[in-house]
Amino acid sequence: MEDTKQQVKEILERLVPGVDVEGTPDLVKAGVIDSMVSIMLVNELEDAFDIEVTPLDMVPENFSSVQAIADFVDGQLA
Amino acid sequence: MDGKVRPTGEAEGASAAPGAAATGAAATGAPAAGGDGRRGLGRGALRVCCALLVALAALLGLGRLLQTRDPSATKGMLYPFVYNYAKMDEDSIDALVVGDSSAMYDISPKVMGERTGISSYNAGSPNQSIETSWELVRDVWGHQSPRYVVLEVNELFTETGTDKAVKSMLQTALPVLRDHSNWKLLATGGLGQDGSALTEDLGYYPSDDVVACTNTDYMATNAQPGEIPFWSRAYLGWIQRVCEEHGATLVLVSTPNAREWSQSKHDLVAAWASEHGLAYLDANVDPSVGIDWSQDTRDGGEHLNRSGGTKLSTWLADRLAEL
Amino acid sequence: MSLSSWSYLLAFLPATVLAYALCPRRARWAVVLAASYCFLWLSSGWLVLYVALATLVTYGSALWVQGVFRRGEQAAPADETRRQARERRRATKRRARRVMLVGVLADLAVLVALKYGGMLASSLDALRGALGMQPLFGGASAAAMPLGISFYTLMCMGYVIDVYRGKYEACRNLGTVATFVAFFPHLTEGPIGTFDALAPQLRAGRVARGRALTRATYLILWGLFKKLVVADRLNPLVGEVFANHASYQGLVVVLAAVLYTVQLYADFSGVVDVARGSAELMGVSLAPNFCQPFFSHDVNEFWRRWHMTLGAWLKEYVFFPVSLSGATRRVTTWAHAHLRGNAARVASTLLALLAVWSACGIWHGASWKYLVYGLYYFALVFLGMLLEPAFARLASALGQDRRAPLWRGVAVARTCLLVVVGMTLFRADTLADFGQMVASVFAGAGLGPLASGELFAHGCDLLDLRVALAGAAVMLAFDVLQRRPGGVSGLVLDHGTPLRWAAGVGLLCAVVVFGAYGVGYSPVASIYAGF
Repeated sequence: MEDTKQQVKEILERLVPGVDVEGTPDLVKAGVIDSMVSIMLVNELEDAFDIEVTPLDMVPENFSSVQAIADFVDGQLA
Repeated sequence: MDGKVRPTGEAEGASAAPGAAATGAAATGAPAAGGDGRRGLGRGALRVCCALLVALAALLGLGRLLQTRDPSATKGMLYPFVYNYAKMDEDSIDALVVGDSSAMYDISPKVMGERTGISSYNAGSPNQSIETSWELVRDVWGHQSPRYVVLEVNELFTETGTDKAVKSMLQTALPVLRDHSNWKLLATGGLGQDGSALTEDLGYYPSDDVVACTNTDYMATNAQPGEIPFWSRAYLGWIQRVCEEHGATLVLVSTPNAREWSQSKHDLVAAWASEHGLAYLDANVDPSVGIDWSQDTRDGGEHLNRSGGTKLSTWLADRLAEL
Repeated sequence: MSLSSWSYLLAFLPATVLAYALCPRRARWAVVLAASYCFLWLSSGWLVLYVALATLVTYGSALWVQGVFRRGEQAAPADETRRQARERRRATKRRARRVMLVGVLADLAVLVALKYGGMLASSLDALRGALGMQPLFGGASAAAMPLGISFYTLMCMGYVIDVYRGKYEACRNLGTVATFVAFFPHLTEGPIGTFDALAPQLRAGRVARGRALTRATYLILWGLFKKLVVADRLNPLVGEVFANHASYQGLVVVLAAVLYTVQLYADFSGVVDVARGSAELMGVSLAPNFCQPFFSHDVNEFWRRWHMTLGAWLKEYVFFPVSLSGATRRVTTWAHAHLRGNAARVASTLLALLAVWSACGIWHGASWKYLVYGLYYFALVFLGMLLEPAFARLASALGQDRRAPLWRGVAVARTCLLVVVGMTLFRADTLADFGQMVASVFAGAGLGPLASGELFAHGCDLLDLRVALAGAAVMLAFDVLQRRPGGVSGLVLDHGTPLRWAAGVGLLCAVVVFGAYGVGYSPVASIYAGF
């Protein structure tokens, strides 16, 4: 789990450089992750973890924080 | 499918607008409605009525504020010069003429006055609607006391829909709806400024053009409608009632119109007139008018020119004197 | 029937709301349905049958999709392995997908045929002409469309797709689906709603009381203010310049473009506010369509604040599916292999963005001009994304903090400029006209018609312009205040009776006195009602 969270953090930091991804309480509300970034993020996640994401998964709850993203990924892997 | 499914569409509201009534009561400072919903509803209805009354009062006040001193100065009508009877001496006219361009371009008050001494004002205007004619007939008593109201009946057959009638009734009830554009006058001289001047021909607009009319058989060939439209009949009845209330005689008139008049229109109006005890004078079926269609029309038969208008007005004055 | 017309405001709406309120709660949705079909009949006559057809197709296909899933689950043998279960579910999903596509494409086909049939026919004929072949269709004119077809088609498609995705169950009640599709407030210009948000509200049968009633009435009055005082008053001036654009240049063209943007915002948001207020009278809360769009810092943000429900629909049903599709995956793989850095990352959104902006453009109308309008924003967004790191590096090299007020102000101004250019394209009759107008901006100062006053002789004089601009200033103040917590409703409705009544009476008087109706004005059709 921690491994997932670390990987997610690294991917995010590459996508949105200069943003404190762990310190921001809600990444979606803060506008850090908008539709475009979410797609780029999903593509990276799909490559990194070999999961499949559907449009139904594209909800703010799954992307609001590094932990939320990691939980989502873990859920897909299960 | 996974567990994200929620049934939808069948939910019935479990209670009244949650919080809305309570916050409404709180917001307006009234004591909370407590457990008695009916009292809350009654109070709500009362508030709505109060609000409507205040709104109505504001609109009526605005209408008064935006009224021009000279009724012909208003920006709420296309042809406000029809009100220029107000500029004549008070109680000086014996007849008011209303109607569309068939009245405006054909009936000359001056000629009629010279013929039989009857003084009149021509309040006709292009495309005048029966609603506007009714407005004029209601308004004239504030300035004049005519014995006759002469209504040119061509306008009866211009289709007037329910929405137009309703709009007109609303404008009668709330004049601000008609005159609201008068705010523009405030920027260019105020509401006291003069509108159009009273013309020498007293509302008659003659022309000396001659465009001959070739279709002299028009009574048979023009459109033959089956009935007078509903709202025209309604307004005609109201106009008659207003005239009777003021002791005036409503007279229906048709000026020569080779473009638009027809036999069945004549028959319909004649039937209405006899049913309602009104006099109907139709220049299209009376050869004593003496219209020469090659000389007396300005536009090929729809309107008369000066010479035609003189003949018609002479004939009309004689007929009115006989009544 | 226009939402800003006498007959709607003084006859249809009060009668409907009264009938709705007097009806027992369980039957209120039926009043809404009847009124909606009445509204449709008055607006479109026999074309209302298209709406009924769309309703039946949507209702049926959603239930069918659900049926496929249910039967798929029921067919599970007791001793199934996990792999077999996955296979079975995949097969079920493929079957359900086919049914979903039938429903969605049936709805879409009607829209395409009616709305784009003429355009496609004439384009095909042009192509045949270019190839030396005979035209096939002759002068095909646009077919008559029922009111709101562009809006309700999207809502129907969204509903069927949502049921397929398992977001919620299909509705068994035809009346509910019919009311959702034909609901008269959102029929003319949206907002585009989703079934799960609207259906419970439509069935709940609530009536606005107290504060909610006041809010709904004020919303309608505010919408009328924007439409009648600002938008309709500017219409003759804008229309004159765009119709005779060859006679104008420089400042006048710029003025017309800016005024059109103001007119469009006032018209669209005004009518939508009347729609939302009407719906709120019946206890239905429609999604907002605008969120102070002209305070946006970039074009992306603008489209998140302008026509929000269309943006949300496109994001949900075009952007995400295309982004997560196989084709995009292939593009992304290629991009990672052949491009580096930001370009590689951005490539993954290319197809989806292209799809969204093309759809957005062409949805607005059956003309290649609208497609270019969409692609204009696509170009801006894509370029913006590509160049973003370069801008960031430039700013840091200059030691500038892009969060500073000055930079943000510049960003807002730049966005407004880009939007005005886009709106000019949107309003121009053809692409060629747009090109001519842009060129004419630089052809000279063009102050002649302004100075001589000739510009103000076409139905909008200087007084009209002043009133419209004053109204626009009020709109700006409103948008500024709306950003405060509680918004304008909190400010006006919750600070005591005198302020509330003064605001209401003031608004009513402003609409009645300064509205562009009556003698000397012709009624202006709502701009988005034609889409």
